[in-house]
Amino acid sequence: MSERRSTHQETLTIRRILVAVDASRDSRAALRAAVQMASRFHAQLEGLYVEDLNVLRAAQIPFAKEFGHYTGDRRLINPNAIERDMRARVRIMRRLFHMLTEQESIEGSFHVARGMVSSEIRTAATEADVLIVGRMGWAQTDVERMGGAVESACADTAPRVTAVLREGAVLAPPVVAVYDGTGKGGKVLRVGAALVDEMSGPLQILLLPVPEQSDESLKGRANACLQPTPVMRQYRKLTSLQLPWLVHMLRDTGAGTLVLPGNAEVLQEGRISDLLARIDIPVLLVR
Amino acid sequence: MIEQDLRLKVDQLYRHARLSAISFETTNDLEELNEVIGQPRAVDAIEFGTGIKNGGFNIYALGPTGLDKRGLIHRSFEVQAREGERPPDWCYVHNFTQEHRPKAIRFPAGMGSAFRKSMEELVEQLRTALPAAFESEEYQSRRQSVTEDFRDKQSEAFNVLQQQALEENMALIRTPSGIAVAPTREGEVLAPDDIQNLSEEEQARVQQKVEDLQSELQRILQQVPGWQREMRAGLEELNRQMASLAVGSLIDELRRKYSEFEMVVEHLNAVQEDVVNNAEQFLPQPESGAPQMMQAMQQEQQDQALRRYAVNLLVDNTETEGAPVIYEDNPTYQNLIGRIEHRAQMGALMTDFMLIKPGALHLANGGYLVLDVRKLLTQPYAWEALKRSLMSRDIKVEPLGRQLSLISTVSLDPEPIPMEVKVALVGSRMIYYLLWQHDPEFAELFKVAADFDEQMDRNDGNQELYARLIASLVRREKLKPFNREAVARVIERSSRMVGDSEKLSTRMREITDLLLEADYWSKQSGNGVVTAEDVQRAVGSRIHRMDRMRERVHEAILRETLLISTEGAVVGQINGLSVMALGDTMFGRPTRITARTQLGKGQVVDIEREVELGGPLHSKGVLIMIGFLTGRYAENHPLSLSASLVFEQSYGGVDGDSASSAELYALLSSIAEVPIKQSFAVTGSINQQGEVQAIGGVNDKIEGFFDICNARGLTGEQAVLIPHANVKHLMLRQDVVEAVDKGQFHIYAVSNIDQGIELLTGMRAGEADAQGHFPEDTVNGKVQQRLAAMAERWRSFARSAEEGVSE
Repeated sequence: MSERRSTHQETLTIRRILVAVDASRDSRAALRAAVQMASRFHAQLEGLYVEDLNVLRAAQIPFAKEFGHYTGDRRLINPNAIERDMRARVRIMRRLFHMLTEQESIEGSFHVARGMVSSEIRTAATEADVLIVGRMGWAQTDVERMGGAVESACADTAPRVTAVLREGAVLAPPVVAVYDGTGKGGKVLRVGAALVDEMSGPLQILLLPVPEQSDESLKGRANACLQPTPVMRQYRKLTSLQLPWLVHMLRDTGAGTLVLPGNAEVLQEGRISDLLARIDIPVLLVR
Repeated sequence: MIEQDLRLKVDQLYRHARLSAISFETTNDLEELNEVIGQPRAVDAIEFGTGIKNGGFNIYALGPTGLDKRGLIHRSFEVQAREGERPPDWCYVHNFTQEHRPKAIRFPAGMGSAFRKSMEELVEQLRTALPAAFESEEYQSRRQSVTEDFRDKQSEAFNVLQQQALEENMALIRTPSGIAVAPTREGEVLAPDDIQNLSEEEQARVQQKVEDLQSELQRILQQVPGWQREMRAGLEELNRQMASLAVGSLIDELRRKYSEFEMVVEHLNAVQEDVVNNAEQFLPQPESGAPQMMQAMQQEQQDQALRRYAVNLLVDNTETEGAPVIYEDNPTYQNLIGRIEHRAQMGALMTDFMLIKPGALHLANGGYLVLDVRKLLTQPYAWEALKRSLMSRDIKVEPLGRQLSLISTVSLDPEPIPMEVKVALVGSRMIYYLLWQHDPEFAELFKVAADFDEQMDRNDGNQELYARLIASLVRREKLKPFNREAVARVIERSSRMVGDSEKLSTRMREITDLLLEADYWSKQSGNGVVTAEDVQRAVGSRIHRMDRMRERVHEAILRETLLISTEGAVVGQINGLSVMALGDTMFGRPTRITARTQLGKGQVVDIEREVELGGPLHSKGVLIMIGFLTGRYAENHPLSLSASLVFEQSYGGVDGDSASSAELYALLSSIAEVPIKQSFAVTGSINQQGEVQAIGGVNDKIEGFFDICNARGLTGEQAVLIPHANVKHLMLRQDVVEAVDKGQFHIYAVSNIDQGIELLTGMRAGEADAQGHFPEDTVNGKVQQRLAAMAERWRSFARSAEEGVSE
């Protein structure tokens, strides 16, 4: 344990991480990232599989039919098959959860809940410092940009830090933190610094344009927020808060992980969910 | 008197090389000989065959080995090739429409390698230009636009549906393997009990709504594959556009550079099309997380894919001057027409156009090819492949296995390359005549026969040329100079090689070997120049090395295991002479021939033939002898004798008619009961007129008998009878010549049987009078009397037999 890490832990305490999984490929990526984070922050990891009550109920409606994703074929829904399938997914994810946690020697537990996805995740996340979900977890259709789990991640009642990952994504440098000059922005910088401390390279800070605030002034406030953290930092200025510009800047910097304020106001146009849909890197939302 | 007339003089036994017309001390003083000597017919044929350009006028150089046929052909071709045009380069490139059929492209000499380099550079440029194009912001944003369009289209359709569902308290639910529509209340799907609790009307209404939404859902889902196809088509079109932009300028440059080559421009167009369609092969492989071996395999596959744009420079004539002259010393099927190699890949044998390798016909295309016909014919299918190429005038690389249907793996069928090659086959006469007789295509394809002679006339002019030839060989082999006497000795030895004092050998290999050996012995002796003694030692040592068999035979004679008498006189017994040939050495050996006669029906039993040891020529000689006997002595009465002839202690086959005169002498001696001097040995064939005809190996035969006599001690009585027609062939060993000179040994040249029998018996042969009667005290007279007596006895036997029957 380095001395610097202990410094960060004073400002970023992560003791419990909740990862919500549904056996989708995105949620497997979320599980791996959660294990990675739990290992770095020595946090307790809790896995949650929610058996979607809506699906179970739909299967029991006598006149409901199922349509193949790709074929469009109409067929009857077999409630027993749905149950069997859910149990199989639980087994798979439980096995994966335990395998990964044992590999990293992490304290963890895996739970299964049956109910409405959003409410079950929200309930489970009340005690968590970090919520991690797969972007397409509990998606209703293949063409959706994200699943129902993201709703929980973006909710106001979500934990202080939530992370959204998609298939193949891992927490990787360079870490880019978006700073808007607010107190929440300071938290974003400290979360970013904590991640950088565990990885390599500088913390790249994107300064959002703030009315009546000079760049130097913003930079000074950002530095103050990071004190006494000796993390290397690079500043870049975002000329517009429009979503396409942010996406372009992230691609231009080759960002590996994005940390930004979890409030929707960070963007002038569009929602956080739009941003999540447009980029493939892990996104950490800080409230 | 006759003895003196027929005895040969010393100067008839050996013809010395008088080089008085040439002034030189050593070969250093002689001019280089740049012309071919002794082969005017072959040279004319080769010049004709080389010059004529029409198809089928290929050359077959026929003759025994050692005549330097290949060297002469090669030099003639080289002279012609120097003035010839440099042939084109040939390349194979990938055929983008028929992958199994690589295209052949012709370039002026030297441009093939330039094109190959151009294509290598193009691929390298594409490796950077295409990734740059596909990583560009423009591409990324356009690609995103295409995919977003697709996503938007889907999202919009589903959003509308979801919105409609929401308004009607319905929801789209994702099941493990599909999507369903379910009624909801406050965002939650109704439980089955809740539905049961609804009124029937309400249930029906809900069910109808569900079914309506389901129908709409199905309609959307069925549209999705079409949208996906549209998206893929859009992405492919975008990729094509970007690749075209990146590739176009690079390939345009090459098109301009090679604009005069239509096939190259066509190929470049095909390359552009292929690169545009497969641009992803130039892009860096994404980190797949696959095992290292798999990544290496992926890289290998990518490299293999890029080989399509490479150029297989099959024939590169950049460094060639004039037309090529190729000698293929291992003319296998593949070495002639080229081959298609394979490489192992994941346990399978793979090939492509880059693995096509040229054969001798490719390398000689536009020039000349020299082949050894025996090697060619012993290689399976090589002869047929050569003929096929010459007939069709193109070179088709075809795996032998496929031609024979032995293998059925996918292979290549490269475009044939037009061929213009002058082929010269070098081989024996026998093979030439066999091919001519049995292969109808041979006469069509090899119309020029260059018949090499083993010998040439020995006259003053040719002796001078021969001396210059020796000088040239000495220089070529970097030997010590030969002095005048050594040169003369080589010329004399050359005559002996062909067994004719009026001819010279044209077997350059043997002459060169003699020079090399003489040079060796000269060095051993420490001589500054090679002398006649060195040459003689070379000759002697060569004979000695191969002399074991001769020594064994002569030893057996001297130890009287083989009975040969060299003194005294015996009735019906004579020394015949035969030649044994073993490899490249020959030696003569005397053989005792005996004849026995008795009363009979005019039969002469050739014992050799009876036991099947005599060949047809030998039998012919015996029959001629009967013809002579009958014609001369039994004109008026039947030939009433029975005679048997045998080669004593002969345990192998006997053939040839060179002993027929000896057999006749033995028979005459037996009939006349006149003894033959055993100090004589005889060779020569006869005809029915009693004339003695020329035979082969006369020198070896004389020397063979001389060696026996010499070992036993020369008496001055020993001699050899040879046909007069063979005098010109005499090139005898020096010790034989010296013995004759001292009167210790003699050689007689006879023209007919009468001369011979007189020498052998010391009795006059006798001439017939007008009535055909020979004088009684002559050999012929005694033969005539004996035969007449036998006839009379035979008649009396016949009468007694008839009377006995009538009684």
